Amino acid sequence: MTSGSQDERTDSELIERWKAGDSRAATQIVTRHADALARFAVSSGERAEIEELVQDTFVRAFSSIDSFRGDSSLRTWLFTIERRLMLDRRRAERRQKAMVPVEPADAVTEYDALDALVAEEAESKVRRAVDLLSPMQREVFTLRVEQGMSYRDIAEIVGSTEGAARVHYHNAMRAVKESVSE
Amino acid sequence: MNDCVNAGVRDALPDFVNHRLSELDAVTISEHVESCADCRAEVAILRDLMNTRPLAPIMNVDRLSAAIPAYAPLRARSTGFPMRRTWALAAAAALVAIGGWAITTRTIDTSAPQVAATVPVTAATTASVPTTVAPVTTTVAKSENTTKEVQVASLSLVGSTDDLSDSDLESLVAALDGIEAVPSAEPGSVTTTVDDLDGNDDQ
Repeated sequence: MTSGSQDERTDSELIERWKAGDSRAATQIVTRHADALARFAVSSGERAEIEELVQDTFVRAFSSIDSFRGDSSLRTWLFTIERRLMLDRRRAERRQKAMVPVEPADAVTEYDALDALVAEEAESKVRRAVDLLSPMQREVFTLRVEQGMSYRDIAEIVGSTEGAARVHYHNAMRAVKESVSE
Repeated sequence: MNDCVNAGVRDALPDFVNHRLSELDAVTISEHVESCADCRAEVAILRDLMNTRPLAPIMNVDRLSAAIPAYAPLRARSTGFPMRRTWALAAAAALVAIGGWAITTRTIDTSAPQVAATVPVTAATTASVPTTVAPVTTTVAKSENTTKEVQVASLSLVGSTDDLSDSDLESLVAALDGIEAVPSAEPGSVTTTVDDLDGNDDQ
């Protein structure tokens, strides 16, 4: 079997092969979706331990692969799992911050430098406007624009309806336009 | 800054910016954008957003793949479920057995008075006990709240049957044949009483 034909296999076929004991099928799935999961994490505001987050997402997904019914695409399902992990992580961080005062130096990560560089280069009013959106609007907006997801998939990821996702997107776009024009 | 009234085009703009549309759709949207200032403004925002999106780190596929566990079917992992299911089935079987026993007991209890009601009549007939005639009535309880008295025979049993004429004997036999040993009221409880045969008002 050539690598070319492996690339053409669907996610469902790769899952079945992995279940049958082919670990290369899992590697294929990871190769196919890891970068998108990393981009989604960064778009959602995650700045530290992105690879750990993506790894946890894959571990959790493969551990409960029997619960994947194939109603949505595998990528949508993976995004849903990653989003839950991000929410858990933020809740844990909030609890930790509530208990332990954080020194400014502790909060510095390798990504802050990159963020600063990007912000300096772009100086984009648009990016700042997006940062001002509500968490739900920002999530829907970035999933639609940066990940190219359909409203149906976005609705499944954020636990909403297709119509509500569409409304969130257009409200977000309106807010960004108003912010940019000020 | 206004919104374009063409909602379909507005929905497609993110895909247009990211080159995810078919060639035909891309041309259609492109022509619209050129003539629509509102959509041009949105396209500019979307392009700016894409150009300034934060960079994601490069993922190490080998490391990520190494962390993935081997496949374990859901059934093999949850060993507690079959035990719980066994206990549930055992409990259900016990419930059915207890229910069946209770129904059987209740049926036996309700039939007991019918036997008692039949015996005195037979005894009075065969032992030639001189008694006075009393109407034989059967009370059929169709339910707990309603009872219905049915006059099944009006019969004279005073004294010996030797005193009876042939016609009286015939009517007696006919009346006895007409008495139902087990009233046919179903499925309610059935109670048969024979008044004044032994001086008690048994129910």
